[in-house]
Amino acid sequence: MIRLIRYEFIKQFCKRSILALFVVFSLANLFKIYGEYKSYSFLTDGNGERSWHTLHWQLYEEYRGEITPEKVERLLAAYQPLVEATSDMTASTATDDPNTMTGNLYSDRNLLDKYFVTPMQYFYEYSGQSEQVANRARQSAALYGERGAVYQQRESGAIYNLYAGRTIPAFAYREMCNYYLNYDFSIILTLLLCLYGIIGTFVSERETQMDMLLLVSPNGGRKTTLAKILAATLFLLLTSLWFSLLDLIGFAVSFQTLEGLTLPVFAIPNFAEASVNISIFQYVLLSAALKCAGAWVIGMLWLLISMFWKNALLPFVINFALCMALIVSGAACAYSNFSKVLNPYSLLTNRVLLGKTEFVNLGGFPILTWQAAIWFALIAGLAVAVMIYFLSAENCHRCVWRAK
Amino acid sequence: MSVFSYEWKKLMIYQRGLCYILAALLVSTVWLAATDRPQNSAMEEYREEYEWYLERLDGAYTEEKAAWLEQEAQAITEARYTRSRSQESYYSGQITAEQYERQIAEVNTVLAHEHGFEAVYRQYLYVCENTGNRYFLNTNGWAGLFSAQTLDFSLFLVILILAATVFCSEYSCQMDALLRTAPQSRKSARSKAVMTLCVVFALCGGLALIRFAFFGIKYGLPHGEYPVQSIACFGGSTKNVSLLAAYLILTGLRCFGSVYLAVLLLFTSVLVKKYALTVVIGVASTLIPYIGLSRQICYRLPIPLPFLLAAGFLEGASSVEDSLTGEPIVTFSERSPQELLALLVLSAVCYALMVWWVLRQNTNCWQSGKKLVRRHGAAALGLLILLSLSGCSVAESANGIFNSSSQSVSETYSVIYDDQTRTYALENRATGALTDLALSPLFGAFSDGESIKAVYMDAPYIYYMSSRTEQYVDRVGSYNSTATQVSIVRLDTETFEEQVIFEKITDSGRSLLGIDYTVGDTWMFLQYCYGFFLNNDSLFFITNDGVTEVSRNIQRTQVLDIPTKGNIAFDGRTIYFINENSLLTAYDTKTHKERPFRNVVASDFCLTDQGLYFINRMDSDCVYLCGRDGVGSLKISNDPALSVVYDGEKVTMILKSDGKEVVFEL
Repeated sequence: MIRLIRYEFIKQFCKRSILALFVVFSLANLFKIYGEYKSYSFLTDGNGERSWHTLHWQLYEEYRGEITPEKVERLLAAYQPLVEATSDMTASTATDDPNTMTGNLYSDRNLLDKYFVTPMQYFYEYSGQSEQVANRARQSAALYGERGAVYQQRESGAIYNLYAGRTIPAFAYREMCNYYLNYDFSIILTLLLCLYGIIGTFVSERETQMDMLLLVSPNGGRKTTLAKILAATLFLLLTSLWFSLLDLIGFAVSFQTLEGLTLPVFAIPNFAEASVNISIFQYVLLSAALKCAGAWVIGMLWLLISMFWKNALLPFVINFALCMALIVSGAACAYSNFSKVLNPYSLLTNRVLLGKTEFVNLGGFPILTWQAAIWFALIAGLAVAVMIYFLSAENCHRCVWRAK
Repeated sequence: MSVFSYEWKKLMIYQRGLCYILAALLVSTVWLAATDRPQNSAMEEYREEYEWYLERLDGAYTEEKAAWLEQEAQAITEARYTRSRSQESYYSGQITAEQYERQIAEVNTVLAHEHGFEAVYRQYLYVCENTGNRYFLNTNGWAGLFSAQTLDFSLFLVILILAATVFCSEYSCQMDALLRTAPQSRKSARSKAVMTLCVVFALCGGLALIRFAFFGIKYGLPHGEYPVQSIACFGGSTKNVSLLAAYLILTGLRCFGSVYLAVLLLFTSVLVKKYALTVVIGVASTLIPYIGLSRQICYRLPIPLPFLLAAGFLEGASSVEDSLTGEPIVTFSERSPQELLALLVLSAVCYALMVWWVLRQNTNCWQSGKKLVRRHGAAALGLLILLSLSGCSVAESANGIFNSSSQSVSETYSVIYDDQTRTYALENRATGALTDLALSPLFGAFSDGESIKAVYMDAPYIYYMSSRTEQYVDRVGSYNSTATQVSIVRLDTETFEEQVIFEKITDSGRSLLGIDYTVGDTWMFLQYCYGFFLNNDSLFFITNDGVTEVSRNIQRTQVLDIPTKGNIAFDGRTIYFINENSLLTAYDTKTHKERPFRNVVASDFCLTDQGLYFINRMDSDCVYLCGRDGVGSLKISNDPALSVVYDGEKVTMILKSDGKEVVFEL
């Protein structure tokens, strides 16, 4: 069986066109990531002595690590005079002021504000805010307990468990992680590449009428179908993993750092309500796993649709349209918990699941949306795979044998 | 029959090309009809009043028009003041009924078109920014017509099918080798290519024509000769083009783009000879630049995408403010006609080369033939089923009493609003325990952009309207944009189950995968809404401009002409309010009929189970009680009152003389 899977994998996915697309899409992805860095980071002004890039990393050495009162005081001692000097907007706008770090007072204030004061303030205040949430959740749970609302009590309990004790003890550079976690472009590339790879799995046999021949082979029929499903699964997982890895490499190379990966994921502002208490690096791994699950279930759907056609054109267009429908409906229903769970595309853009603490009610138990989505995806994917297996033509040898 | 007609029959009939074309036309028309919303809802809502002003202002800006408009603004403000003064004088007995009628009649002639004035004044402010090329006209038709700034996916998919089939179908059954042995092989290839390109051109033109007809019929497309800058999306353009010419140019460019895409697909299909690879190259060459590159770069590339989008060729430069430094960042610089021409020429050269290559590859060369494989054309077009933004569930009948001037109360709960913190809390009337709304412990914890804007109670349900503003300042793809989402949540006070029954993003600017697009301003009013009530059929939102009714099934909006300065009451079917002439009025939400109570002239009122308590302006502001049909007025108090409020249990009036509260137990 393993040999069969290997053959199928080599036959279907080790084609020159797929490898060429892999290279082209990977390069496009890297260019896009570099474009994000150039467009959105303020640290792209070169390595000059007074550039933000140089100064930021110098200052960063001073403030990185555990947030201590001394560090906060030192930072505020540098920042407050700048705020006072620039508050009435009458300070000099000269760009060669020797008494400043960057050559300009406003620029100094902006540098400290953007990269040190605002993030450190957020980190510092976060534990208080999450404590407040935990307290409110505990009070709500007590209230629901009195009123006999069991589901709501459980939900509040789950929120309490998630938020109690959340803290961001250390200061680290978070810009790279912020853009990495909000990056979506590679999903489109993954989907296009997977679609191209998957579409030929059954169709190419039919186009060449090899499907008839396969049926007479002892390993043909459903055994080949199973091998195809497994080979396709392997391809989907590898493609998805590759782009997850490439994204991380791309961002790390563009921003020239891996700093921030040890921060908790809720250190990124739009993950303040994250439903997981893990570090960003762990989040990267979890996100890659969720992306694999999303790509796999969408891939199985494509495979199912493509097995009814004799050439690749219409299934490709239909699958592409299905994909666009999932993307558009995913964006339109981003606020509905159930549609998020049911839409496999949300596993690909998994911050809509992991970035918010949202539950769905399954039999009276609150299940976090990302957990529900992954279970749903696995069950749906398996169901579709089973359907493909049983809908495929049976081996003629076995039919004859069974008839006898 | 000629080769052309054979090919026509093969591609359009047997391979169902016509079927796909008709499906694309049908889907586009249905989608357009189902999803279209006016770009400026005020112009549509008060069309007659707006057009009254437009008759006087239509065309270019002149000093006289501006002066007249400012004069009109002044007159309307004065008329509003005169009306309230006349009412005051009449109800306090200083003027006779005849004088009052005469004054009101005069005032009403000035105020007859006041709603339209708001829309026209906004347009005036827009025109004032550049009076040279911004004209007054009803913009809804043209703005709708030009609003299609994103890729037309139905057209894109049909081009993929039509163009990829042409040669790939021959390759898939190895007919290509046989065709090349035929004496007319070049002619056959030429026929195929010409036919495909003509069909794609016709399809794109047909879609443009359908849009033109649709907006022409629905809103009208007046004054095609006015400058294109009259429409907000082209406001910054420096090109001297009329509206009609702009649409023709855009249509021409889109047709060119469609044909260019078809040529690219024909070329790719001849090159790679495989369906899947042809289509994936076609999709990738369009979609990857579309999502991955900025518009600035897209409109410089000699690929089909910029021509398929086209709108950017006529747009002006745009920029956003840097979130940190406040400096402008150019997001799109205007494309000059010379640049467009250069891009067109370059694209046309690529186009010609690709056509030449396609024909060359299909010329006789007496290659060896292989056995033919029987070909079947299998076809079906999957329709995009796009889910609507949100749905409304049917709730139980609403028959609670609602007064916008006071917070609602049920037997078990009352709603308390804290003026200081601007938060709502739910008070259990039995225990006195307070619960903050919304119930989620996360609500408002990490963001200042989350708030409860209004609460409506209909025991055992409490409905609250939450607003959530998200800023994407740091986000990739949507630079510096914000989105506000308004939801109405139903909370069951017995089981504490929450269910979202209505949800909308209020901003007209949206972004998906970094592609920015705009929708009409239909839901913008939700941002300014400060109260709401509902029944099984509709939701009613109270804003300063009136009450907006939203049907729960088809989500159609309609502004009801109800002044919202005073109290608005609702009993599940009828809305009670005080109209412009101070008459207490009932509006039936089923029959959509308004009925002023002739004998009830009130300065304030409240709805209770017993009937309507009101402050009678005809009787020195004493408090009266009448039935819900306005009959059977009964004097309740001899003291003049300032206001009268019902809190679910008792009616409280504040005395005019000393501001003391007097309570009537029911």
